[in-house]
Amino acid sequence: MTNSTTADRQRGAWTTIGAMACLALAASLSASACGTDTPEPDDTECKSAKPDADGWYSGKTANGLYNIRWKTEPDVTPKLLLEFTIEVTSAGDGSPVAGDVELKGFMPQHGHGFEGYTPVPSPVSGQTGSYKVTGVVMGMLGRWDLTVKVKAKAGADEAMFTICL
Amino acid sequence: MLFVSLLTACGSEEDIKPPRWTAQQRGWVEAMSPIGPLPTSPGNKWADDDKAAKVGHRLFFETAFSPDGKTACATCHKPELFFSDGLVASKGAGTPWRHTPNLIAAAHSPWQGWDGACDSLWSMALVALEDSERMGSSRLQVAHVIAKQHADAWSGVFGKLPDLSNSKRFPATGEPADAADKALIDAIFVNAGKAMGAYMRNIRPAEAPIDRYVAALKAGDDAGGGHLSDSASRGLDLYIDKAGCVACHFGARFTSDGFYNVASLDGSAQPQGTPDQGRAAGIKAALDSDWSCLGLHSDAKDGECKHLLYANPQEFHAIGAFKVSSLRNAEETAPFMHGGLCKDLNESIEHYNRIDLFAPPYGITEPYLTSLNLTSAEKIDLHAFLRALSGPVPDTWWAQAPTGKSP
Repeated sequence: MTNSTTADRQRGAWTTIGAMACLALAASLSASACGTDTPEPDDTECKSAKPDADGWYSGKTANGLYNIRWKTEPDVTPKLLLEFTIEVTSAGDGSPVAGDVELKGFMPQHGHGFEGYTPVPSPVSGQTGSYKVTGVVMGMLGRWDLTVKVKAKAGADEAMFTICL
Repeated sequence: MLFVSLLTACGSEEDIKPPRWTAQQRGWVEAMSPIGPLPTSPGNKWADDDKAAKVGHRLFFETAFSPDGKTACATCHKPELFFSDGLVASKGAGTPWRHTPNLIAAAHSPWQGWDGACDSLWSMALVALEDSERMGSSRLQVAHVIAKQHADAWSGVFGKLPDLSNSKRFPATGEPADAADKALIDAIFVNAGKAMGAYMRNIRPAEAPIDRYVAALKAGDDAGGGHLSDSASRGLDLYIDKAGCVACHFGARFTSDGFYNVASLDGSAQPQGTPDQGRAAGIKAALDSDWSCLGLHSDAKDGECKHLLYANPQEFHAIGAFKVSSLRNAEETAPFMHGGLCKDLNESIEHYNRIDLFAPPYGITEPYLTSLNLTSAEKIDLHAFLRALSGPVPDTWWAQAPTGKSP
């Protein structure tokens, strides 16, 4: 599926880092060892957005029009049916935003996204700026780009959240 | 010279080993065991009733349900073969064109059958009983056999059976003429399926090397207690990285329970020469079924059948797509793919290794699937890892033919 594996890439990176560290040591004529500490895992393959303590993922839309936060019930888990709650507020004054909201899921390494269901979040009655959609399945492991698109009075804008399953 | 000697002293890449896995990959490996508790079966109020499961055990091995008196569920789902049959195409009352899936831990899946035409084990049992290609039985035949051979066990769970001795009202096969009589027979038939569904929830895999490996890993032993051979350990790395199997075959049952088109159709695996629609037809069948979680005979409460409520019969990717098999005991449950296209794991690995060469009839293959280009040594390692997902035949009472003695 891929031409170079994680190990290949990491090995290359760490070999380079190791060589650079040695060069620095050589330049300073230091006799100390290069170090044997185990390096921290390299997560460059996929950097996941992190939820807060209450499970909310938060971010600003690309053009800065809106603040988005969302959470799922249950917590994001592969192959379970998820219910998304999405809240949209104005980036200017923080007021709730009424508009049209879409949730798109896409796996860039796989070329597809949500299976079996096209989520269209519905406004929550009596809670302006709050939207819900249920029955969403993230059916495969890997990188997911979840995009919340908002069309409202201030304009169209969207925010993307990368989730690594 | 000093520069060179220091550089040499500082060592090669061997001295600064990168971590074996990313945090994400480590999570994938740790999720490979244990399997965890059974999900609920909302459509079957008998699902966790031990007495119902024991009745289902008897019915699962009952050959008198079939027209020739020789075929039981256990004929194709052989316990000694991990509840599969080793054949390319099943041999029941007719000749089904699909391979018999094994039933190891099948109760964990929201969908049964290669196309997911059933959304529960009890539903699958009923569909198979009436399918002319599989059991070839009828509701009346099932009811009569239960009345004749299992009445005592049955009445202890489901209550006294109605008197079926009037052969005009209740002929040996076919359907009762009277609607009320038909309802009586349907009720027996449905409970037979639910009893077998309860039984099949007890078909669980025995511990495999991967379980011991993951347990050791979680306990802090990065070598996994040595429970994987060096070759299998390299195979694990391939599984979660270069080969990418983990994208679909993940978790402790090594399946997403999803449906994908992986170019698995071949000429011998199609009904009457028509390309098998797979999931596209299966989801419609599940939605239309009287035996589904949303069907007439379900015990589910409102809102409990979400897997069916949110299933989409228009899903583009469902055409020619088939269920992702669990890889537990894969080594012993060949052949593979819905039509038995790959006779063993080596052929299955080779299928994915050269998948670019295959063009499914509908021209739809999962876009991420490209040939793996594994070397011969890598294929051996991947196979070694897959073997580590196998434990022995479950040594439980449930995996034996019923003897009348319960544990």
